[in-house]
Amino acid sequence: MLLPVRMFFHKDGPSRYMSHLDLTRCMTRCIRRAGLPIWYTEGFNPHVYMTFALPLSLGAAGYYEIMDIRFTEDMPLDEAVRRLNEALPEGITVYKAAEPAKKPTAIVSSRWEITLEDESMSPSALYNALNEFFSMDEIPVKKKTKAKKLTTFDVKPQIIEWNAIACENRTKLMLLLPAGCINNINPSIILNAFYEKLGHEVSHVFIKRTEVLDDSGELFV
Amino acid sequence: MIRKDIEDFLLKVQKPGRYVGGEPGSIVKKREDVNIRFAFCFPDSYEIGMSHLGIKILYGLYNSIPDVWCERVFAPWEDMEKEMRARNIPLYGLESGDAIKDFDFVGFTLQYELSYSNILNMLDLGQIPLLAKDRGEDDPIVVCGGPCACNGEPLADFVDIFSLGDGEEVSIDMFDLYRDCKAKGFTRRQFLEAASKVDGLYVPSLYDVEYNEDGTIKSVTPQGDAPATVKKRVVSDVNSMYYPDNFVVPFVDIVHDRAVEEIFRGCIRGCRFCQAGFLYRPIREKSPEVINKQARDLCRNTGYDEISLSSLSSSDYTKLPELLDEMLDWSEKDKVSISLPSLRVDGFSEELTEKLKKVRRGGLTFAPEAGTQRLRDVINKNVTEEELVNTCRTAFEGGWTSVKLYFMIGLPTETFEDVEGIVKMAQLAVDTFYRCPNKPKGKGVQVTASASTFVPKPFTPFQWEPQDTIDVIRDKQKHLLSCVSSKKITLNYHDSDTSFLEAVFARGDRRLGKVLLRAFELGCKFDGWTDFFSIEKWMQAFEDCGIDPAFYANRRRSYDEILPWDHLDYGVSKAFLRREHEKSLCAETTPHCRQKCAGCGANKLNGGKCDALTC
Repeated sequence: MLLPVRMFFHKDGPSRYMSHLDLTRCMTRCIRRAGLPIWYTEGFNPHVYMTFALPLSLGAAGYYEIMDIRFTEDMPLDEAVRRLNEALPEGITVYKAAEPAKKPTAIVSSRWEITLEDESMSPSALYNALNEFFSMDEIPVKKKTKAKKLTTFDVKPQIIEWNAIACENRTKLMLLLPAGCINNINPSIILNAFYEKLGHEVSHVFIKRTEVLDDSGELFV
Repeated sequence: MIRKDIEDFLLKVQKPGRYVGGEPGSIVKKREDVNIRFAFCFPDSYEIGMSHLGIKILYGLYNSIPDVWCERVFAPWEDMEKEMRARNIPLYGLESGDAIKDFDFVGFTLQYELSYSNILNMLDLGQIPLLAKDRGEDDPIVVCGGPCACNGEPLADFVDIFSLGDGEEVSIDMFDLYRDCKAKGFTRRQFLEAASKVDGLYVPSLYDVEYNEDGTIKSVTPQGDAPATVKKRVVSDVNSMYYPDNFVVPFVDIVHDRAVEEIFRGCIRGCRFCQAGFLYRPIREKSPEVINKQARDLCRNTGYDEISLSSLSSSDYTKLPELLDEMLDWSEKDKVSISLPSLRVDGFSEELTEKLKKVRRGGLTFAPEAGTQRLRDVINKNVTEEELVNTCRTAFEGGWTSVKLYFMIGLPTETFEDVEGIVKMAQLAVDTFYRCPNKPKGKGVQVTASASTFVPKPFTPFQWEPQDTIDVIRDKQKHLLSCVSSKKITLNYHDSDTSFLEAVFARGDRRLGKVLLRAFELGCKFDGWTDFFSIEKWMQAFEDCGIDPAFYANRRRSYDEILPWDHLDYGVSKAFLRREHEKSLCAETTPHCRQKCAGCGANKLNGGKCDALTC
């Protein structure tokens, strides 16, 4: 009997500095510590069956992270979540577990909340600069291809939504970008283009993924 | 705990996960609940330090004491160090993010001599005065343990206390003394004087060293009532001895990322080049029940899927078959694989391969150490060619297709014929593969022969021997290379400059402190890494201090010379080491401890007990 389980978790704090590969290793060990009835793949080198819907860049925080595993026994999901949270390191918390509704291939976009603060620019100056940047007809960005070459393309048509917000002592940039197996835009490449136009990097940047949406524009579950 | 001031540039440095703490198993305590703060510094990168067993044992032990908080500190990589210095961020403990200069103790483990420059660099980054004599009442006590503490003299200028031998019990005594002294309002000096009277603690500032005209040591004199000889600490009952039931599990990839269980201390073999085999005597084995329980608890609490059984010579553990049976009872079910490194050439049996079949098919490593029987007899590595052939055949029939053989060049009495013998042994392994009727089909064999340079070490029968000069070593390496004709044999050897420096510091005295300081000033660090090591800077440091390194590395010492470590007692007597040395020069072997006790003397530090005598 194999029961697919989808776990939704936050990744923040020191855990932001775990790469995707590190995360796989960490989760495997924590699941073992928690004593969850996890399914191992068969074959010569059995390992925990585990997939993540979307990778998260090193340093970014994720508040809608998704991991799919399989149970070999029917363990109550709230019990599984409780045990796993006890075993997880600082910064990773599972907040929901459920039977997967859609396949990860249904993922189409993700929402980002980026907080910017700069030593040389006021929040309103940053706000204006962002608005100017995103209002351009074309937004050329650089991306490394699989062959490690740098290509330039116009990302503007692919930005689904953008919005800059000026707060008292910081500026926020909200983005809705394509995500998933068909198309994926990492906010870093847009930010790098922004720094280029600005002429300098922004001193404090905090990138947070807040939601993952499916093909009907709903939260992916 | 991530310090706010490092968050801004963390993404600019390589593998930032090394600097943030928060790993599963790491211990965070409340500052107000704690009386003693200990910064356990491993003088190398996170990846190296987190693979080391000693720090895991002591980290667990210290943190099990309610009012003690032990945090981990590793040497920041070059890019991180640059940022820290530019922004004046002092070296901090990973768990709290607090500067280690405010801790009570800053401890270093001395695992290898090439890490010494990192010790100075970490003290400097920690903003702690490098010289012990410059430290004031508010500066931490710098304490060092580990194998190189058997001759910490080159570090005497920088270290307040050396901890000799097993750390499990002496640390508790040191903390008790510290609390007591603090309560009584003792000064730093008074604490150090009291510490010198604790068994196993050596306070170098309380000893004066005088030298002869020829540069050898004239005398080592204790001040006041410090003991003339400092004995190492021996934990007698290893079954009741502390062992952690949890490890800090790293986020990032490290060198050895698995659970480790120590199965016994000491070694029965008496190989004459091996310092560890003598330093950790007498033999003390844990019972299979204790090992099994500790291993199981560790795997459960960490989630690791591999456990390594650690010792100096695992095939010598007297109850290995029973232990493996007990472990296989649960390990297969829990999907934990058992790793058994440190197997002797003559300790690898079919029975063992059967039990370890579940282990991933990595390479197998054996250490014949010398290429001819004559030289193996000189070093007392009692392994024959026949045994090598049998072991390789067992391995190949068990499915292994690659074997690594460790050798040394520069051993005492070595000739070019012995050097050629290394390749002959490797070829023997290759030939054994092709003669195997049941060898793995459709695959070739790969034999790697790794030849490191012999470094004479204190507390071994070879402590009086000179190291071959760099030129002689280079000639031998060239000769070795010229002997290899088969594509199935890969030859590895290190650059001899690092081995030379190791030899200088291994048997060095206090005068090397100046050189170490100068080398640090010239920018020496991470000397164990080829990208960083600079023999030019080191030779500059020696020159600037007017010290000839060959005096320490390449000089044959006389039996009646006072050696820099003679005032430290590790149990093994000088008379025994001398007997062994004399035998080695005639290629006469000594049977291992279970065959016949050779009277090394180590058991006198353990109330006369040694497991080799009773089992």
